[in-house]
Amino acid sequence: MASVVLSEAEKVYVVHGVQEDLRVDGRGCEDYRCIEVETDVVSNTSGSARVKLGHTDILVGVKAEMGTPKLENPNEGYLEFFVDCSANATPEFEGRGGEELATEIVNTLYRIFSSESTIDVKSLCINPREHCWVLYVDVLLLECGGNLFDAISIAVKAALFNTRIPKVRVLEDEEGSKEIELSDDPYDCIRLNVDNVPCIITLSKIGCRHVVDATLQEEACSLASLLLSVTSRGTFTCMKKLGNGSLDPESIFEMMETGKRVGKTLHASLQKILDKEESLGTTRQKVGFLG
Amino acid sequence: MALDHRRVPGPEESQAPLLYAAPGEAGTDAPGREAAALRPLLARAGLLSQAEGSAYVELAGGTKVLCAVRGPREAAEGRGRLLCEFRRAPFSVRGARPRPGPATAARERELGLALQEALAPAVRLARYPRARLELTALVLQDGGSALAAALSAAALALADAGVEMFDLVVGCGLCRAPGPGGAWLLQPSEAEERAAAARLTVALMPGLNQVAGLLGSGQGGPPESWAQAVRLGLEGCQRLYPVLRRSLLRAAERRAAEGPRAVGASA
Amino acid sequence: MAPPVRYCVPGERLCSLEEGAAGSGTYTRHGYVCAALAGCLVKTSEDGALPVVSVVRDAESQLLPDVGAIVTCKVCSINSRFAKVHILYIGSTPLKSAFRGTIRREDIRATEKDKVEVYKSFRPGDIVLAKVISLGDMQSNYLLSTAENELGVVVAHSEAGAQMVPISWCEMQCPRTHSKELRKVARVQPEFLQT
Repeated sequence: MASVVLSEAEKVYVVHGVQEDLRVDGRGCEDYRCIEVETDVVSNTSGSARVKLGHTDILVGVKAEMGTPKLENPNEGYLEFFVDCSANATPEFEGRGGEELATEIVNTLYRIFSSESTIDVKSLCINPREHCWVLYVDVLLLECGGNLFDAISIAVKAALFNTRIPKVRVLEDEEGSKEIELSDDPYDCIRLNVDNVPCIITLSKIGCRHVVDATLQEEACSLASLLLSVTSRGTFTCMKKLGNGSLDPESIFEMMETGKRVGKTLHASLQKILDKEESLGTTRQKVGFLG
Repeated sequence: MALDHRRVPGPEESQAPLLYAAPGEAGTDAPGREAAALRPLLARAGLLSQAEGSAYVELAGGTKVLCAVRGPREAAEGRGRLLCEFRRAPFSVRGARPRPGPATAARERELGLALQEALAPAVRLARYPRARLELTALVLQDGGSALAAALSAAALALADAGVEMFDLVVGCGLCRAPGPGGAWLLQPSEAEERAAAARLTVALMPGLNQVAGLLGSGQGGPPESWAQAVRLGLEGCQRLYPVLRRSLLRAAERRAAEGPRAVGASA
Repeated sequence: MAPPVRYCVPGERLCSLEEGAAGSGTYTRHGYVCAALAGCLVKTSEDGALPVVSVVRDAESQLLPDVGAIVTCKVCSINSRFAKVHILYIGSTPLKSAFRGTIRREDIRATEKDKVEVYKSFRPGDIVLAKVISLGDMQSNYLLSTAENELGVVVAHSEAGAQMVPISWCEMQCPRTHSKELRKVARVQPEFLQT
């Protein structure tokens, strides 16, 4: 992963600051950096979103394609995740450099979407055992400035919220052969219910305290962090220890409490922004990549 | 007579095999199972002759994991590194043989990474500059809680190889029974794990009382429920620790009895 | 009769720091000496001083070249600036896999460093005693030095293929052809001469 090299003195400065609930950029331990979310940024997708979190910049595109349901779940559609660590983010990703990180992110995304309640996959089914919608979720890392996982999960949620899948009807003639008919109206489409899509909250342990939304400098000071995926109702769908350090059992319980609290606030404000953007409709001024 | 390869010589009509599967066939777990019951664990250290250290852990009910450590070997990087690989034997799972492919490889890599991140805090990597330790965990049979068994086996193998460590690592698997308010079960079997609403694996360094690893997902419910699961898991780890410790002591005694040059311990 | 041997596993608390000092195979944490290895507990006490607690394993398999260690290595290739070697032994313990090392020209001998020439000191195939001076950085590997009387070539073969006999600190002679070849010869200490 993109990393910075810190001297001992710099590390001590960061750790002592965190101890006093005052971080290098002036935030408290439970404060996020300013998050910029914009949906519908790429027109060739079914849904897209771009999230900027400090110097972390993520672009997510969702494409809905027709496919065959998986054998074990014949009346469900499914999601496929791909992560591209482009060399734009850091030169270390050139060639195959980012592959390890990409696999880790993809596995984590599969993990947080693994429980049935996150997305109603049954609504993606067109006709059982034959056709369903497959949502290809492509995550592009444009810039890495720490706290990748949180930013990615926010971007994925926003992109899924933005996703519009064309409505299709299955027509069956007398001989039993089926025909799929696409609706004529381009605005006639299915929206996904993203209420239960979780967001990842990564809590990095620095000294004896933990912080949310760590910057690269803070990540360099942290030996271990706890990744939690929190739904809007405050339940967890995934938890995972990251990094090469260990955690005290008590601090894990504290982190879980913080994660729940922060997660709920994050979901509420994200939903508010998404709804607001939605209500503006076509009158919204697009910022795009020049903003 | 030449066979007509273009025609499928099957019956005219066919049915999906799912129609014949009895509903709820595997999901029923043994009634009256105590949530905190642990499966008997068998551990043996130092059984492979070619590896520097090795260990085998078996959970009653059919989880078998073999672990080997190689190294320290010369590495290109300056710092010491621990490389972990998690593999499943092709015949380790119930049902169809999994096809090797990128998806299987990615899943194994995730568990390999989990193994590495859980063991890294226990190994004194600072004592191994410019060297790398290679660890392979091979699941021979997956009867549930495979990652937890692999964690324990890996720590035993590292200790058996004479790698300097801060502490052992003990792994314990948990799963939450389906349905609202389902209870967390310790060391689930394969059937329980398949039916579970949520799964969790915790790794503990028992001497230092530090959580080395945590990996779980599913509908575990509110944080309180997860916290309870972690607590239960850690308690399970503490209860498993004496077994692992004893097997390691036995391996050390055996090595001492066989003399310094004898490698590999026979059963 | 010797007291029963106590075995321990990593992470086990052995004693507090007041009762003993941490020896090899142990570490200290929160004022206690803890085991870092699975092995046998040994307490060596010198009169008056704190006993040193250490954990030993019979098979000393996990040695790594450390700064200051005397290693035995074999020269693989030479050029005008340095000789590349494979480290085979640390002290008297064989390594399971060879580690690569480098002897730079200025580390070959202690005096007249600027006049040293690598090909007059080592040839590929020589067995050399050397001391580890650095673990090296990202680019280089172990850096070794032979800048002591006791360090340098111990076994070398002549062009005729016979094992040569040292005749001075910088020359060796072939017993078959009586030709002399230049080497940085080690004055092998008697304790290393056991076979």
